[in-house]
Amino acid sequence: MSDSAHGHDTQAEIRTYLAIFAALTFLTILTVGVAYMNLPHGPGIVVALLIAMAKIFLIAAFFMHLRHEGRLIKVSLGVCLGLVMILIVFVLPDLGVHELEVLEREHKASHNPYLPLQHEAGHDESADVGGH
Amino acid sequence: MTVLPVAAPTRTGISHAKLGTWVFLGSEIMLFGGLISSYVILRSGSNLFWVPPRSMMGVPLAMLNTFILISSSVTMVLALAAIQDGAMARFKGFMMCTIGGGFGFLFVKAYEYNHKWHEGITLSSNLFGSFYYTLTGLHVLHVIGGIVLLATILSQGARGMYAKNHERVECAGLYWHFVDLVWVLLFPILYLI
Repeated sequence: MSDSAHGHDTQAEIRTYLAIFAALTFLTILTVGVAYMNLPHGPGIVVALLIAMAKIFLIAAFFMHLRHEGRLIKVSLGVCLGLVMILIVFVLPDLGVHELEVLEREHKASHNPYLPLQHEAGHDESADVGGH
Repeated sequence: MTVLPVAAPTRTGISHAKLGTWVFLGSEIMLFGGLISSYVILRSGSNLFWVPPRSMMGVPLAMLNTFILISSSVTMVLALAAIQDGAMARFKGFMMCTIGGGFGFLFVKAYEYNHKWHEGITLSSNLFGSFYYTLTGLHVLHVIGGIVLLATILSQGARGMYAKNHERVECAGLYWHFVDLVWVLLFPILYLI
Protein backbone atom coordinates (compact mmCIF):
# COMPACT_ATOMS: atom_id res chain seq x y z
CA MET A 1 0.00 0.00 0.00
CA SER A 2 2.54 2.55 0.96
CA ASP A 3 5.59 0.37 0.40
CA SER A 4 8.39 2.15 -1.40
CA ALA A 5 8.68 -0.90 -3.61
CA HIS A 6 5.39 0.21 -5.15
CA GLY A 7 6.99 3.49 -6.20
CA HIS A 8 5.09 5.89 -3.99
CA ASP A 9 6.19 9.51 -4.06
CA THR A 10 7.69 10.11 -0.62
CA GLN A 11 8.15 13.82 -1.10
CA ALA A 12 4.50 14.27 -2.06
CA GLU A 13 3.44 12.21 0.96
CA ILE A 14 5.58 14.32 3.28
CA ARG A 15 4.07 17.49 1.86
CA THR A 16 0.63 16.04 2.48
CA TYR A 17 1.50 15.13 6.07
CA LEU A 18 2.79 18.64 6.76
CA ALA A 19 -0.34 20.16 5.21
CA ILE A 20 -2.51 17.96 7.42
CA PHE A 21 -0.40 19.00 10.42
CA ALA A 22 -1.09 22.65 9.59
CA ALA A 23 -4.79 21.91 9.24
CA LEU A 24 -4.88 20.10 12.59
CA THR A 25 -3.06 22.97 14.29
CA PHE A 26 -5.53 25.45 12.83
CA LEU A 27 -8.51 23.32 13.89
CA THR A 28 -7.11 23.04 17.42
CA ILE A 29 -6.83 26.82 17.69
CA LEU A 30 -10.31 27.14 16.18
CA THR A 31 -11.74 24.72 18.75
CA VAL A 32 -10.43 26.81 21.62
CA GLY A 33 -11.39 30.08 19.95
CA VAL A 34 -14.96 28.95 19.40
CA ALA A 35 -15.19 27.78 23.01
CA TYR A 36 -14.21 31.23 24.26
CA MET A 37 -16.84 32.83 22.06
CA ASN A 38 -19.38 31.55 24.61
CA LEU A 39 -21.93 30.40 22.08
CA PRO A 40 -25.30 29.14 23.36
CA HIS A 41 -24.97 25.71 24.96
CA GLY A 42 -26.45 23.56 22.17
CA PRO A 43 -24.74 25.19 19.16
CA GLY A 44 -21.50 25.37 21.13
CA ILE A 45 -21.49 21.62 21.65
CA VAL A 46 -22.36 20.95 18.01
CA VAL A 47 -19.58 23.20 16.70
CA ALA A 48 -16.99 21.74 19.10
CA LEU A 49 -17.88 18.18 18.15
CA LEU A 50 -17.93 18.96 14.44
CA ILE A 51 -14.41 20.38 14.65
CA ALA A 52 -13.31 17.32 16.67
CA MET A 53 -14.84 15.04 14.03
CA ALA A 54 -12.97 16.92 11.30
CA LYS A 55 -9.68 16.43 13.15
CA ILE A 56 -10.43 12.76 13.73
CA PHE A 57 -11.21 12.32 10.05
CA LEU A 58 -7.92 13.94 9.00
CA ILE A 59 -5.88 11.80 11.39
CA ALA A 60 -7.68 8.59 10.42
CA ALA A 61 -7.71 9.21 6.67
CA PHE A 62 -4.19 10.56 6.20
CA PHE A 63 -1.98 9.54 9.11
CA MET A 64 -3.57 6.12 9.59
CA HIS A 65 -3.96 5.72 5.80
CA LEU A 66 -7.54 4.60 6.26
CA ARG A 67 -8.53 6.04 2.89
CA HIS A 68 -6.31 3.45 1.21
CA GLU A 69 -7.38 0.51 3.31
CA GLY A 70 -9.55 -2.36 2.19
CA ARG A 71 -13.28 -2.61 2.76
CA LEU A 72 -12.91 -5.23 5.49
CA ILE A 73 -11.17 -2.76 7.77
CA LYS A 74 -13.58 0.05 7.01
CA VAL A 75 -16.61 -2.17 7.64
CA SER A 76 -15.13 -3.42 10.92
CA LEU A 77 -14.58 0.15 12.07
CA GLY A 78 -18.04 1.16 10.93
CA VAL A 79 -19.56 -1.58 13.09
CA CYS A 80 -17.55 -0.38 16.11
CA LEU A 81 -18.55 3.21 15.65
CA GLY A 82 -22.18 2.22 15.16
CA LEU A 83 -22.18 0.27 18.40
CA VAL A 84 -20.67 3.20 20.30
CA MET A 85 -23.25 5.55 18.84
CA ILE A 86 -25.97 3.21 20.12
CA LEU A 87 -24.65 3.82 23.63
CA ILE A 88 -25.25 7.51 23.18
CA VAL A 89 -28.01 8.01 20.64
CA PHE A 90 -30.34 5.30 21.95
CA VAL A 91 -30.00 6.40 25.58
CA LEU A 92 -30.24 10.17 25.25
CA PRO A 93 -33.98 10.24 24.37
CA ASP A 94 -34.71 8.42 27.63
CA LEU A 95 -33.21 11.15 29.77
CA GLY A 96 -35.73 13.28 31.56
CA VAL A 97 -33.99 16.49 32.48
CA HIS A 98 -36.04 18.04 35.25
CA GLU A 99 -35.30 21.62 36.05
CA LEU A 100 -35.25 21.20 39.88
CA GLU A 101 -35.37 24.96 40.24
CA VAL A 102 -35.42 24.96 43.99
CA LEU A 103 -32.38 22.76 44.31
CA GLU A 104 -30.51 24.79 41.70
CA ARG A 105 -31.19 28.02 43.57
CA GLU A 106 -29.98 26.56 46.84
CA HIS A 107 -26.94 25.09 45.19
CA LYS A 108 -25.97 28.43 43.64
CA ALA A 109 -26.71 30.32 46.86
CA SER A 110 -24.29 28.13 48.78
CA HIS A 111 -21.37 29.54 46.67
CA ASN A 112 -19.55 26.27 47.22
CA PRO A 113 -19.73 23.90 44.26
CA TYR A 114 -18.17 21.08 46.28
CA LEU A 115 -20.97 20.92 48.85
CA PRO A 116 -23.17 17.90 48.30
CA LEU A 117 -26.71 18.85 47.50
CA GLN A 118 -29.01 18.84 50.53
CA HIS A 119 -32.36 17.55 49.45
CA GLU A 120 -35.36 19.14 51.11
CA ALA A 121 -37.36 16.89 53.44
CA GLY A 122 -40.28 15.33 51.64
CA HIS A 123 -38.93 16.12 48.17
CA ASP A 124 -39.83 13.18 45.96
CA GLU A 125 -36.77 12.79 43.75
CA SER A 126 -38.00 9.58 42.14
CA ALA A 127 -40.59 11.57 40.24
CA ASP A 128 -37.90 13.73 38.65
CA VAL A 129 -35.62 11.27 36.90
CA GLY A 130 -36.66 10.14 33.42
CA GLY A 131 -40.21 11.15 34.03
CA HIS A 132 -40.82 8.00 36.10
CA MET B 1 19.26 -9.39 14.60
CA THR B 2 16.57 -11.11 12.57
CA VAL B 3 15.41 -9.24 9.49
CA LEU B 4 11.68 -9.73 9.10
CA PRO B 5 10.85 -11.21 5.69
CA VAL B 6 8.29 -9.66 3.38
CA ALA B 7 4.83 -10.76 4.49
CA ALA B 8 3.15 -13.46 2.42
CA PRO B 9 0.12 -12.35 0.43
CA THR B 10 -3.24 -12.95 2.11
CA ARG B 11 -6.62 -13.93 0.73
CA THR B 12 -8.20 -10.66 1.85
CA GLY B 13 -5.40 -8.56 0.40
CA ILE B 14 -4.90 -7.05 3.83
CA SER B 15 -1.89 -8.10 5.89
CA HIS B 16 -2.66 -10.11 9.01
CA ALA B 17 -0.75 -7.66 11.18
CA LYS B 18 -2.65 -4.67 9.92
CA LEU B 19 -6.06 -6.35 10.16
CA GLY B 20 -5.25 -7.52 13.67
CA THR B 21 -4.17 -4.03 14.64
CA TRP B 22 -7.36 -2.48 13.33
CA VAL B 23 -9.49 -5.07 15.16
CA PHE B 24 -7.55 -4.26 18.33
CA LEU B 25 -8.17 -0.55 17.74
CA GLY B 26 -11.85 -1.43 17.35
CA SER B 27 -11.81 -2.90 20.83
CA GLU B 28 -10.12 0.26 22.07
CA ILE B 29 -12.88 2.31 20.46
CA MET B 30 -15.39 0.31 22.49
CA LEU B 31 -13.35 0.82 25.65
CA PHE B 32 -13.10 4.58 25.37
CA GLY B 33 -16.51 4.80 23.74
CA GLY B 34 -18.16 3.18 26.74
CA LEU B 35 -16.59 5.64 29.16
CA ILE B 36 -17.16 8.68 26.97
CA SER B 37 -20.78 7.74 26.34
CA SER B 38 -21.27 7.32 30.10
CA TYR B 39 -19.91 10.80 30.61
CA VAL B 40 -22.17 12.22 27.89
CA ILE B 41 -25.26 10.53 29.34
CA LEU B 42 -24.63 11.55 32.93
CA ARG B 43 -23.58 15.06 31.97
CA SER B 44 -26.67 15.52 29.81
CA GLY B 45 -28.97 13.87 32.31
CA SER B 46 -28.89 16.53 34.95
CA ASN B 47 -28.55 20.29 35.07
CA LEU B 48 -26.87 19.80 38.44
CA PHE B 49 -23.84 17.98 37.00
CA TRP B 50 -21.10 20.32 38.22
CA VAL B 51 -18.44 21.18 35.67
CA PRO B 52 -15.41 23.30 36.64
CA PRO B 53 -15.01 26.69 34.97
CA ARG B 54 -12.47 26.88 32.17
CA SER B 55 -10.17 28.98 34.35
CA MET B 56 -9.88 26.05 36.73
CA MET B 57 -9.39 23.49 33.97
CA GLY B 58 -6.25 25.03 32.52
CA VAL B 59 -7.22 25.13 28.86
CA PRO B 60 -3.88 26.55 27.58
CA LEU B 61 -1.94 23.60 29.02
CA ALA B 62 -4.41 21.12 27.55
CA MET B 63 -4.12 22.89 24.21
CA LEU B 64 -0.34 22.56 24.45
CA ASN B 65 -0.78 18.86 25.14
CA THR B 66 -3.02 18.53 22.09
CA PHE B 67 -0.37 20.22 19.97
CA ILE B 68 2.33 17.94 21.40
CA LEU B 69 0.38 14.81 20.54
CA ILE B 70 -0.51 16.02 17.05
CA SER B 71 3.15 16.83 16.44
CA SER B 72 4.17 13.39 17.65
CA SER B 73 1.65 11.86 15.24
CA VAL B 74 3.29 13.79 12.40
CA THR B 75 6.77 12.64 13.40
CA MET B 76 5.49 9.07 13.65
CA VAL B 77 4.14 9.07 10.11
CA LEU B 78 7.37 10.74 8.91
CA ALA B 79 9.34 7.98 10.66
CA LEU B 80 7.31 5.41 8.74
CA ALA B 81 7.99 7.22 5.47
CA ALA B 82 11.68 7.32 6.36
CA ILE B 83 12.00 3.59 6.98
CA GLN B 84 10.03 2.86 3.84
CA ASP B 85 12.71 4.84 2.00
CA GLY B 86 15.49 3.08 3.88
CA ALA B 87 16.59 6.35 5.53
CA MET B 88 17.71 4.97 8.88
CA ALA B 89 18.98 8.25 10.35
CA ARG B 90 15.71 10.00 9.60
CA PHE B 91 13.76 7.04 10.98
CA LYS B 92 15.67 7.13 14.27
CA GLY B 93 15.37 10.90 14.55
CA PHE B 94 11.64 10.99 13.95
CA MET B 95 11.01 8.02 16.24
CA MET B 96 12.93 9.75 19.03
CA CYS B 97 10.88 12.90 18.44
CA THR B 98 7.70 10.83 18.67
CA ILE B 99 8.80 9.23 21.93
CA GLY B 100 9.86 12.64 23.20
CA GLY B 101 6.41 13.96 22.40
CA GLY B 102 4.91 11.15 24.47
CA PHE B 103 7.11 12.04 27.42
CA GLY B 104 6.27 15.71 26.99
CA PHE B 105 2.57 14.89 27.13
CA LEU B 106 3.08 12.86 30.32
CA PHE B 107 5.07 15.65 31.93
CA VAL B 108 2.36 18.23 31.24
CA LYS B 109 -0.33 15.80 32.40
CA ALA B 110 1.53 15.19 35.68
CA TYR B 111 1.65 18.94 36.31
CA GLU B 112 -2.05 19.24 35.46
CA TYR B 113 -3.05 16.41 37.78
CA ASN B 114 -1.07 17.89 40.65
CA HIS B 115 -2.57 21.34 40.04
CA LYS B 116 -6.13 20.10 39.79
CA TRP B 117 -5.79 17.89 42.87
CA HIS B 118 -4.74 20.90 44.89
CA GLU B 119 -7.59 22.91 43.43
CA GLY B 120 -10.04 20.34 44.81
CA ILE B 121 -10.82 18.34 41.69
CA THR B 122 -9.98 14.84 42.88
CA LEU B 123 -11.04 11.34 41.96
CA SER B 124 -13.75 11.36 44.62
CA SER B 125 -14.60 15.07 44.89
CA ASN B 126 -17.50 14.88 42.46
CA LEU B 127 -18.69 13.06 39.37
CA PHE B 128 -16.73 15.28 37.03
CA GLY B 129 -13.53 14.52 38.93
CA SER B 130 -14.19 10.78 38.71
CA PHE B 131 -14.73 10.97 34.99
CA TYR B 132 -11.82 13.31 34.38
CA TYR B 133 -9.23 11.17 36.12
CA THR B 134 -10.67 7.89 34.80
CA LEU B 135 -10.79 9.05 31.20
CA THR B 136 -7.49 10.90 31.13
CA GLY B 137 -5.84 8.31 33.38
CA LEU B 138 -6.79 5.52 31.02
CA HIS B 139 -5.44 7.63 28.17
CA VAL B 140 -2.20 8.22 30.09
CA LEU B 141 -1.80 4.46 30.52
CA HIS B 142 -2.20 4.08 26.77
CA VAL B 143 0.45 6.77 26.18
CA ILE B 144 2.86 4.95 28.50
CA GLY B 145 2.20 1.68 26.71
CA GLY B 146 2.70 3.46 23.39
CA ILE B 147 6.06 4.84 24.51
CA VAL B 148 7.23 1.34 25.46
CA LEU B 149 6.04 0.04 22.09
CA LEU B 150 7.71 2.83 20.13
CA ALA B 151 10.97 2.41 22.04
CA THR B 152 10.93 -1.27 21.12
CA ILE B 153 10.23 -0.44 17.48
CA LEU B 154 13.06 2.12 17.49
CA SER B 155 15.49 -0.35 19.02
CA GLN B 156 14.60 -3.14 16.61
CA GLY B 157 14.40 -0.84 13.61
CA ALA B 158 17.80 0.66 14.34
CA ARG B 159 19.28 -2.83 14.25
CA GLY B 160 17.81 -3.52 10.83
CA MET B 161 14.85 -5.75 11.68
CA TYR B 162 12.48 -3.79 9.43
CA ALA B 163 14.75 -3.46 6.43
CA LYS B 164 12.42 -5.55 4.25
CA ASN B 165 9.10 -5.54 6.11
CA HIS B 166 7.86 -2.28 7.66
CA GLU B 167 4.52 -3.61 8.87
CA ARG B 168 5.34 -3.47 12.57
CA VAL B 169 6.35 0.16 12.26
CA GLU B 170 3.08 0.90 10.50
CA CYS B 171 1.06 -0.99 13.11
CA ALA B 172 2.83 0.81 15.95
CA GLY B 173 2.05 4.03 14.14
CA LEU B 174 -1.62 3.09 13.93
CA TYR B 175 -1.71 2.62 17.69
CA TRP B 176 0.02 5.94 18.32
CA HIS B 177 -2.33 7.81 15.98
CA PHE B 178 -5.26 6.25 17.80
CA VAL B 179 -3.89 7.51 21.13
CA ASP B 180 -3.71 10.98 19.57
CA LEU B 181 -7.19 10.60 18.17
CA VAL B 182 -8.66 9.77 21.57
CA TRP B 183 -7.07 12.89 23.07
CA VAL B 184 -8.45 15.00 20.21
CA LEU B 185 -11.91 13.87 21.37
CA LEU B 186 -11.26 14.08 25.12
CA PHE B 187 -9.87 17.62 24.96
CA PRO B 188 -13.07 19.39 23.89
CA ILE B 189 -15.50 17.26 25.87
CA LEU B 190 -13.59 17.59 29.17
CA TYR B 191 -12.05 21.06 28.85
CA LEU B 192 -14.21 23.10 26.53
CA ILE B 193 -17.82 21.95 26.46
